[in-house]
This record gives sequence, structure tokens and C-alpha cells, in this order.
Amino acid sequence: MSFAEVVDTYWLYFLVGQYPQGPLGGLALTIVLASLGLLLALPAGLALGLARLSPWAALRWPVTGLIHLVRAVPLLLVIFWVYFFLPSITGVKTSQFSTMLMALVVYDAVYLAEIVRAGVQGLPRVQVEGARSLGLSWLAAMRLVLLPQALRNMLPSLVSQFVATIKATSLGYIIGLSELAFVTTQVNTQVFIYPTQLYLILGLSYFVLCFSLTRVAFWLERRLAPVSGQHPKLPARQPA
Amino acid sequence: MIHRLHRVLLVAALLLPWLNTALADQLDDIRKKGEIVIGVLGTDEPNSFVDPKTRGYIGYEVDLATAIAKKIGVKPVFRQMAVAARIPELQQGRVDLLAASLTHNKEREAQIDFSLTHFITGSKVLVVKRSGVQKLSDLAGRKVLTVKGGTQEPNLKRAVPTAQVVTFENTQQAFQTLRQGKGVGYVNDESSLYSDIGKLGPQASEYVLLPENLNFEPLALGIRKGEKALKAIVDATLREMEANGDAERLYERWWGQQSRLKFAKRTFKFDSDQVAQ
Repeated sequence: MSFAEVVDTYWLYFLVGQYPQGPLGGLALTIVLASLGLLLALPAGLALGLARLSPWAALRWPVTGLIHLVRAVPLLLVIFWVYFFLPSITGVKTSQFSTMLMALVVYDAVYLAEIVRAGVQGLPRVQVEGARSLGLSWLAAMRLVLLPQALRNMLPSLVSQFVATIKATSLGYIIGLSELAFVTTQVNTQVFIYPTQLYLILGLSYFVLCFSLTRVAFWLERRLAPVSGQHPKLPARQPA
Repeated sequence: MIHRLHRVLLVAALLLPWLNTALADQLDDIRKKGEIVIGVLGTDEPNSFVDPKTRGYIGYEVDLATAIAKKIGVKPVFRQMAVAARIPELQQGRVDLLAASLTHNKEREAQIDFSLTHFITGSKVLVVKRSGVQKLSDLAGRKVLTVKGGTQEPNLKRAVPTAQVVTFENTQQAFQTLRQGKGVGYVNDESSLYSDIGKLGPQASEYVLLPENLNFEPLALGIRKGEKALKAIVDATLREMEANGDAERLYERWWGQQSRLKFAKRTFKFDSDQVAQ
């Protein structure tokens, strides 16, 4: 079997898995999983980040605990636990796809939360003080003054985290999710004699996905940048 | 504090009955659902693998499982899984039946039940010709590669305790490592080894199969422990296939002369669910 024949035989399987006769798989599944993961993790990460910054200890403490716990465990284990351990406690059996999505969102949100915290705490202290002394509540100060500035600064870190999420979808193999890496391995087992070519294609596919995301982010970063340099300069303090 | 602890214990006690308990008979559940979920590897020709044309699962075990679904009168749904996840998937009830190149051995009998043996194979070692290894004992102290989570690794360790075993996520990775010269031998079920060698083409002459069997591996379908009704209907289907010649036909189609593997005549029957120690 020449490599051209291999491509001709397996391209559709590589792209969509068994769909429509079976579950969606391959490149399409990886894209769906990564996109949903990003879309859900961003608000979740923001919420966790704000909770971590919040003046209310009842909110701050549990979230801080969760962040420390999840960050200290490998994602592979999180997936394994959500899939095998949670159902034996809750009695609810989640599918392979939703298990993977949940694990990704939780894991990602925790990392994003710390980026959010860094972004907000990295702002000059006067921003908070100014906003609060204008009479804004804590939430309003966050929403109207701090977050708009912080998010712009956080963008590079956010993008790195998103790229990591795309690649983390490949860990779904552990619960038999037929995402791109799993499908490629499967084709490789079947064909056997072209591992270099097949894994090169796999690598390239991830590169295209991740690189396109970073380009979009770069474009966004340029659009969001204030016209003249960084933050509006504060007037120099007048000597008393 | 003590109050809170009590409450936690109470909640735990209330949840406990839900742990790993099937509320009803599994066969009834399957009939009620109208489908039987079958766990397959999907990467192990000829037991279960993807047909590039239809992109569905085909293979020897897929056909056996389909026959069982037909007998029960429900639709078969195939779900692929990793080698190491097979038994947990079954125990948790995520699949109703395992048809996943599963070896029936005494250790596993404590965890799950098995159908009648549907295939008998043995692990063998494929070695690189240049390495000079000619018999099992020559592997002492040498690097031998195989897959993680199956029976291959313990079997090799039993046969050659001093061999350095390196394991991989799937058999293909282990075999690839052998091809790159990073080990002298590769352990797998005899059946899979024939299939692997067949795909190598002219390079096959660089390898030899050691004649000794590491063990005898009866393959069987896995059933959750204590599901007597399901086991009865699975075994009845297999016995029926033996009697009407379907078992023989399936063997010939996937393993025998009509297949790529060209195994010799079938030497076993679907008649026993007992295995030797």
C-alpha cells in the first residue's frame, strides 16, 4: 500500500471519525472539543479569578483551595477520576465527550483564574483606589475600570493557555475518545508501515490549529491596543 | 465540628448503596434500552478494527458480539476503549459486554465473569535476527518491548525474570521501538504478531519468531460479575454458533485460510468457560 493510497483510504476517517454512522471523531471532534472548551473555560476562569480576588472570604477560600488542588494534579488523572470515580459517587454516568469537556473546562478555568488574578493585581494600585473613591462598588470597579485594562494585558497569557488546551484534547485517548491523536494512532496500527508520515500529519494538524488561534489573538491584541502606547499616563505628581 | 463530621458521614451512608450496584438485572436493562453496548479495542486486527470503507468496526469479536445482540433482539452499539480501561469500563456499567481481545485468567475472575472461551492464542516473542537471540532464555538481561496493561508483560516476566521489560500505550508503539533497534524483542499475542509481520513486507526477513509459547491465552468475552442471565444468553449464543457451523466459518474468515493471517485449522471449540491456573 503506497502512502497515497493510505491517504485516499483514511482521509475521511481522519477528518470526522465514524460520523455519521457512529460518533463524531478525528479532526472535527478535536476542533469541537477545543472550541467548546475555550468558550466555556473563559467565563468560568473569569468567575473563579474574580472569586479569588474577592473581598469575601467565604468565596475566596474555597476557590483558592480548588485552584491549588486542581493545579497540583495532572490533567490525565483529572480525566480518569471524572470518568471512573465520580460516577461511582454520584451515580450519573457522563459520556466520554462530556467527561473530557468537563475535565478540560475545570482544568483550564483554574489556570485562567490565576491569569485573571495576575492581570488585575498587576494594575497600578491607584486604579482601584480611584475607582472606589468615585463611589463605585467593588463589582462595578472590576467591571468598568479594572477588567477592561487587565484583560488587554492578559491576552498573551490567555492565548498561551488556550493553545495548551487545544493540545490537551489529545489526552482523551485514556477514556477512548476518538479525537485526532487517537484516530491517527488507530490508522497507524492498521497501516503499520508509515508512522513517520502519519505522525508528521498529526503534528502539522495541531500546528495549523494552534497557529491560527495565535494569529487571531495577535490581530485582536493589535485592535485592542490603545492608540498611543500603554495605559493613559497619570499626571506627574506636583511637588507640594 | 463534630456535628459537621456527622453530617458528612450521614450523606456518605445514604450514597453508599448507589456505589457500583446494578439495581435491576442487566439483561432486562439491555432489553429495555433496546441496545447492548459492547466494548471493543478497535485497534486489534482481526478481533476488532476499523473498516476504512464504512468507517465502522469489523472483525471476529465484532461478529461474535453482533450475533449475541441479534439473539437478545437488540441493536449492538460498539464503543472503543484503551486496553487498561477495559475492566473498569465494564465494572462501572459503561459497557454491557467486553469483546476486547480479553484474556481469561484466574486473577481476573475475581473482578469480572467470562463467557465461553472463543479463541485460544499464546504470547510469543518476535526478535531482531541480528541480536542473536534464539531461545527465550537468551532474553535474560536484554531489553524486551510490549504493551502496557495486558497479560504480555507478566507472562514474559514469569518466563524470563531478568529481562528488562519496557512497556508502551499500544502494541504499535512497542513494535515501532523494536524496528528502531531500541530493544531486541517484542512480545504480543501470536495472532497479532502474524498480522504485524504480514504488514512489514520485505523487511519481515529481519525478524524471527521464537518458537516457545510464553503461555496459553484463552480469549473470552467479559461480563459484569454476577449477571447470570446475561452470561447464560451469551454462552447459549456461542454454543449455538458452534453447533450450526458459524463458529468455524467466522474462524476461517478472520483467522484461517480466507484471511490475511492464514492460521492453520481450528483446534478449539466454544465449549468451556474454565481456564487452567
